[in-house]
Amino acid sequence: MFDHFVSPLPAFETDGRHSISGLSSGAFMTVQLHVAHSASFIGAGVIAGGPYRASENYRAAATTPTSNILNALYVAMSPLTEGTAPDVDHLLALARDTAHIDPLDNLADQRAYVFTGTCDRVVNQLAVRKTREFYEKLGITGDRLMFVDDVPAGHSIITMNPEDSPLSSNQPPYINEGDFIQSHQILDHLYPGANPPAEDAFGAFIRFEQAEFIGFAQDRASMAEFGYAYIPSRVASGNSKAIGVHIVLHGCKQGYAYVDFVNGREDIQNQPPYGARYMRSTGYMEWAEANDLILLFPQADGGDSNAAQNPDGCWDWWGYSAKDQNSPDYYSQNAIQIKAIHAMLTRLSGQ
Amino acid sequence: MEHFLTTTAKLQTEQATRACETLQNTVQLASAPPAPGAMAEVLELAGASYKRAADLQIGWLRDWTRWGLYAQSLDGANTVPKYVERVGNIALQAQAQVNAQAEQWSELMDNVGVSYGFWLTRQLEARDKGGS
Repeated sequence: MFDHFVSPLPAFETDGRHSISGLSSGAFMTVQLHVAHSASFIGAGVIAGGPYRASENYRAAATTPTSNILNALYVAMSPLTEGTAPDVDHLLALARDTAHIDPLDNLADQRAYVFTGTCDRVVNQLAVRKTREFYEKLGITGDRLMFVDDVPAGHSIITMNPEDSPLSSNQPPYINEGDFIQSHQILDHLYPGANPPAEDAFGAFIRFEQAEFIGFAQDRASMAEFGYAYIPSRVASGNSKAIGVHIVLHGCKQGYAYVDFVNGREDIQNQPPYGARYMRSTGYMEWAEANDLILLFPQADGGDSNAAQNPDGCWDWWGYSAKDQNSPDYYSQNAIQIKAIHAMLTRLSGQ
Repeated sequence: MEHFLTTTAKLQTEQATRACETLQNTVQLASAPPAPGAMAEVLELAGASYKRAADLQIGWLRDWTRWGLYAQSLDGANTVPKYVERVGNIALQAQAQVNAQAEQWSELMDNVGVSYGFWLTRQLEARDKGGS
């Protein structure tokens, strides 16, 4: 159900089995959040995303912040060869030296899902293989790490909806039609022994204001006015306790408010905003309904201003939202977006 | 206007600094026998760069072929306003493609520069760790 109200984000009792997944910039952000708050999660799903602090491999690329952008674009997303892809040992050392994150040891007994399509031309397979290596070196091994790299998919989350783009395409809305539902594959892996997805999602779809979680940094946060949550019907009615909260992070150009920028301007005359497509058509809600899992859908927003240079509405995994652009914090518990999203999780899970 | 000048100068300075450092590292790396596998990695990098360039050109050829088909006939322009719109569209599409291709080429050049610089740095670090 989707009503027209803006509600305060409610609190529910849960078993505390929280997890997170995302696509593209949402996948990079998934890894940042997972590492920064590893004590809060049981696992993560990464579709086409690179390892922690991957925009800081090659410091000599330029002065910061340009260095982070160049690293993000060419080392973390689109490396030419294995030897120019993210250096995992360097990033692990960086992670071990990072202040204001939970102990890395928390990750060792968790689960992870990492996916890279063979036709992905946006975040290529050389980059995503480093995410597998990163998690393996942190102790997520064996059947707790599911790595998929043999599907001929472009840059996308995969559904079975006939309306979605052809499987191998690399184009907005970055939702492609395949022969399986990827959100189900992720959640089945993160929560072994789960029930099959429900036929429909009968619970409550809640719209809430994100501003209260962002605090004073509204202009730099690049987060939209509203976030959303899905409360499964048995949880909403008080008949069941939720197993946890799963955070779903959309990719670039996929926030509800996103419209394309044409020649530096939002093309609002020709395009409707993206809307709730990523939330409602990718299968997360049906799985959550059958398994009493609350879903949290934080939303990034596009901006081509000088306060936050983020025209594609991407999550910040290279530092655009940081106050100090020469030493940007986009990766610790103090980073604006990580702090805001974790505060939403804390509220929703009644902690 | 001042912003345009300072931003252009800053970007050019950064690019020049990076190029100097890359040159310096290249000379430093070449001053000692290469590490095993280094030549193969350089060739792999060159091959990957060439393949990206070739892929871009295939895409551009496809885009210009589509544009040519659109531009070769004005049969649908059956009123003066429609004619003006159509001629304008042909020019705007061509301009948009030139802009997009310039941006894509610039990205590839940036990628090659950053990747080669990164590779050099890693080679020198590995050599330093090896004590040679």
